Amino acid sequence: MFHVSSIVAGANRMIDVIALTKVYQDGSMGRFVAVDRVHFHVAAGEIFGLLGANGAGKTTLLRILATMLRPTSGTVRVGGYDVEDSSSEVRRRIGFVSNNTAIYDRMTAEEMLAFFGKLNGLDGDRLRDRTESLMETLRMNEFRKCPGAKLSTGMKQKVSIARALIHDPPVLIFDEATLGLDVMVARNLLQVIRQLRDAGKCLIFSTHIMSEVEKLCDRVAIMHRGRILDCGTLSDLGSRHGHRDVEELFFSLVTNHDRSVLSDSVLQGAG
Amino acid sequence: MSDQDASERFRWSAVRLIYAREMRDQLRDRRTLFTILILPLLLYPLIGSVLMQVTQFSNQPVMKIAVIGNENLVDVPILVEAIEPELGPDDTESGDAKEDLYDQSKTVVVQSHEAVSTEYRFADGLVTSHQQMRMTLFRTSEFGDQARIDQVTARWIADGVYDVVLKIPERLGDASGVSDQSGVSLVYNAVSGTSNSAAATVNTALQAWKNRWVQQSLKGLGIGEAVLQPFEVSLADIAKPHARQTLFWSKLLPMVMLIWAMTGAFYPAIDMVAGEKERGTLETLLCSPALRGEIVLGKLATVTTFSMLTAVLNTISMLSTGAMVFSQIGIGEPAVMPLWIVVLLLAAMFPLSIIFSGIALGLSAMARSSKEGQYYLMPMMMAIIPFVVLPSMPGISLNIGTSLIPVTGMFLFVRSLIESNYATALVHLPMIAGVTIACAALVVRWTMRLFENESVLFHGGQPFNPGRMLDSIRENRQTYAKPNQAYALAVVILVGLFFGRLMFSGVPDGVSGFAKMVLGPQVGMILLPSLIIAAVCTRRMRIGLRLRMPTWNVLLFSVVLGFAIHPAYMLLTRWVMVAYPVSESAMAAMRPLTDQMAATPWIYLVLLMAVVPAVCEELAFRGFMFGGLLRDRQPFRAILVTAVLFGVSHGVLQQSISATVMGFLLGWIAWRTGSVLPTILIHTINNTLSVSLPSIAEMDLPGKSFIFETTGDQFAYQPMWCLMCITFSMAIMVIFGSLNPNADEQSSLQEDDAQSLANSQNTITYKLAPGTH
Repeated sequence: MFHVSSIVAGANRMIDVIALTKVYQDGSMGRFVAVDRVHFHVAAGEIFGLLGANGAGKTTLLRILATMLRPTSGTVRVGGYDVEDSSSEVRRRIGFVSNNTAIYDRMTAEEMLAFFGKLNGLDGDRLRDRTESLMETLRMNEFRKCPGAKLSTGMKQKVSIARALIHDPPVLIFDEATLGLDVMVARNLLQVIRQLRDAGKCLIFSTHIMSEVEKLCDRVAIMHRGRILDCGTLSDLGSRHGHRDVEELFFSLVTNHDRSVLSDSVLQGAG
Repeated sequence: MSDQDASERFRWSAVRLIYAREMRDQLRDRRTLFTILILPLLLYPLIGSVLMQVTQFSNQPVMKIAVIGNENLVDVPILVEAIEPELGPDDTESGDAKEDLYDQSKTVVVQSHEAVSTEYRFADGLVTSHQQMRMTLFRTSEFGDQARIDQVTARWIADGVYDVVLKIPERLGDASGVSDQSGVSLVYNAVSGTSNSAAATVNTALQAWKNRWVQQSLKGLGIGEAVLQPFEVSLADIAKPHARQTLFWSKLLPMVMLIWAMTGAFYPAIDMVAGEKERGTLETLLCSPALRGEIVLGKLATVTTFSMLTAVLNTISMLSTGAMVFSQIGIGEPAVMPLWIVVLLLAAMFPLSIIFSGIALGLSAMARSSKEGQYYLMPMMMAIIPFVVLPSMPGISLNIGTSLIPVTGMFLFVRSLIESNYATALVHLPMIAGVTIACAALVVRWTMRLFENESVLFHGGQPFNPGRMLDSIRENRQTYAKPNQAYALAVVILVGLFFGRLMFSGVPDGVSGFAKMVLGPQVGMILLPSLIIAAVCTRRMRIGLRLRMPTWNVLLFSVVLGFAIHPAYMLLTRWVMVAYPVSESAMAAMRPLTDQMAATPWIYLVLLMAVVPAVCEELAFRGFMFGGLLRDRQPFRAILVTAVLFGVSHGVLQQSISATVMGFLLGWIAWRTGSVLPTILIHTINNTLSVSLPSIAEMDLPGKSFIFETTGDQFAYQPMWCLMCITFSMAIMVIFGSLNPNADEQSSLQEDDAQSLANSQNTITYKLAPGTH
């Protein structure tokens, strides 16, 4: 049934997020709405940026896409597969790169790739070919036999990306992946992301750095307190809200939102 | 949908892959390697060498002995002799000493001049100990009177001037042999270790000396030594060589192995879950195609491997160094541990190791960091150690009760095999295997659930706060208990009864003692926990305990069924007695109890043996627990579980079997009638009939022979009557089966479910809860 809907919606649509809400139930904090009725789509060959301050709900949203968290309500499909009903199928189709590089300290780059490749069902020649080509493109050959603990942050990030790409997934999720990287490495990373887009991948990229969005993203969603305030290409957003600059745009959207929420609650209190 | 099924299929290859990675990862970790491999290899030789050094140095302190009144011994075998033969005991007197003695100063360091320069010892052959001793002699006359002697010697011992004082009264050595004095006395301090051992040494010397004296006297009377030794006892030990050492090790080893198995499980588990959480690598694993179950099993296998490895290496190291050290010190011969016992222990360890590994993984999953994980080690050890120590306690042996205790049962089983009690061991094997497998399955399932639980994995769970936990239980109170609350009550009751029975055991003293023995466990360990937990966890206690009023018809049928089912129950208990006969010793042990029962007035008996147990047990098992378990919508499972728990709570195998069977019936009735009252009635009537039969047998009632038959002192229902009753019972059960009075129970359950849904999903679904829109 999900195949049908994805065909109807367009063959190149890779991510569908429909009315997604995520509520954390915490004994100490009580109930907390991390993602609030979010709705967007991402197509193949597109870089989709999620722009938001810390705590806006970006990581929660991306973790739901990666099937690590379950939606409280709403529907999320990746590659046509529902994240709740067919989580394994979804996981086969994604590569996830997080802000902490998540490298095993006591494994070499080579071993990491072999492990995740085998978990994804690759082996023998296919695994070897794939490993070699990633080592080549990401220029990892000189440290391929180094244990993870001895790598620099930039090297770690490369290993992390190679790990996410080993099974050649159609969807790639970058959760604040440039966090803590120096300018050179960050530039390289953005370059890699562009190349992946050109290769027809669907990329979703979260950040709180405005300039990255400007340079990289085809479409942007501005996220604040769990809500997506607006979504579209940068020029669309600029003309809609009258700001050419991303930073200006972001602040005007956020402050307008907070003001309206405040007046709503005042009105409700008065009523 | 078919490709969805294929994608969620469990792959053992993924488990193997994760296992291989985790093993490699852990083996590359220096800390893990140190605790698993290096520590055991170094630890025991190190402890051994330290032990040997210590024993060499502190081996034997010089024993300080004071002898008062050696001069009183005349014409008897020599007790004390000077090492320099020219100085006899008579020369010990000294002026300095005298003055010191009568000085009332607090320290009574009295040493006569000669005592220091002249050395004395017990006569040749009296002392077997190699310990060095320094002996000081005093004359009785040096002290003045007897009271003064007592005063001074007491102070000597208290101040540690001497370890032991030997006092010989004046007329002990009288040739007449008649002494009006009490004999020699030893003053020592039982609290002091050195004083104790000194007293023991001196006492041995005195015994040997006494024997010499007796022999000398007999010789004087012309009687030969043969009179004293009419025969000799030769001891023939049929135990295999080293059997005692083997037994010693077989008691000690399980304990040591278990503790190492726990330690060995814990550190890798923390690193593998809490550590990976910290480093962020768990996240990457969770968004790989591996299923949660595959991840858990792969990690569990790794932790179990390390747990077993630690246990095995420590055992080997401990046994080999232990044998060497003990033989060096001379405490015992090198212990020979037959290989089959070691193999057996390892086989027994394996499932326990899985259990610990599962617990360690689960705890580690709840920790937010590896540091927090470390804090959980102690509580886990503390919780498990009683089960480990229990088997080595005196008087604990394998029986139906102990075989049902996890861990303990397994080790008692191993011990039974070592002691060659194969029959006992095999009889209990199914129970032990069942309990162990059930525990392992529960632990693995618990761990899997934790890994499915996103709030545990991504928010690290909440720090444990009993107050908040209680608050949240009270806030979420529902009409019926939740299944886990039902299980919690079962655990509380079973553990409580175990200790309750120990507390209230022994021969009851009169009716009040008997009442205490029944009421203690029943009210204290069954009723009270049920009421408390029901008050805390459910909204209305009456409903939570399923005290719903059924129709009068149902109550009437229940009364009739109570009478009608009794013959079948009697048949059952008799069959159980034939299948599992009660041993003679158990019968003898129960005799005081049965005597007491016979002496108790009938009305008390009915109250204590029928009404109280019926009310307490039914409220707990068919009330609170059953209500909670019904929440799963699987009534037959609820009936089965409560019946088995009800049976286990009886503690004695024979009672347990019949109680379990009765439990099925009572559970079914409780389900059909939706209330606990019918089962209370049936339970009461059944128990009343059981305790009343002997008195009914003595009565001369008309038509008694139609119902009962008496063969010798056996007393039973007539076969015809049994048949009638069973038919009648079935008819009533058909009626109960046709009832559908649990309709309002169903609606309450739905209400509860709606509330839980509302609690978890809030905004979107709260409008669905009845009564709120």
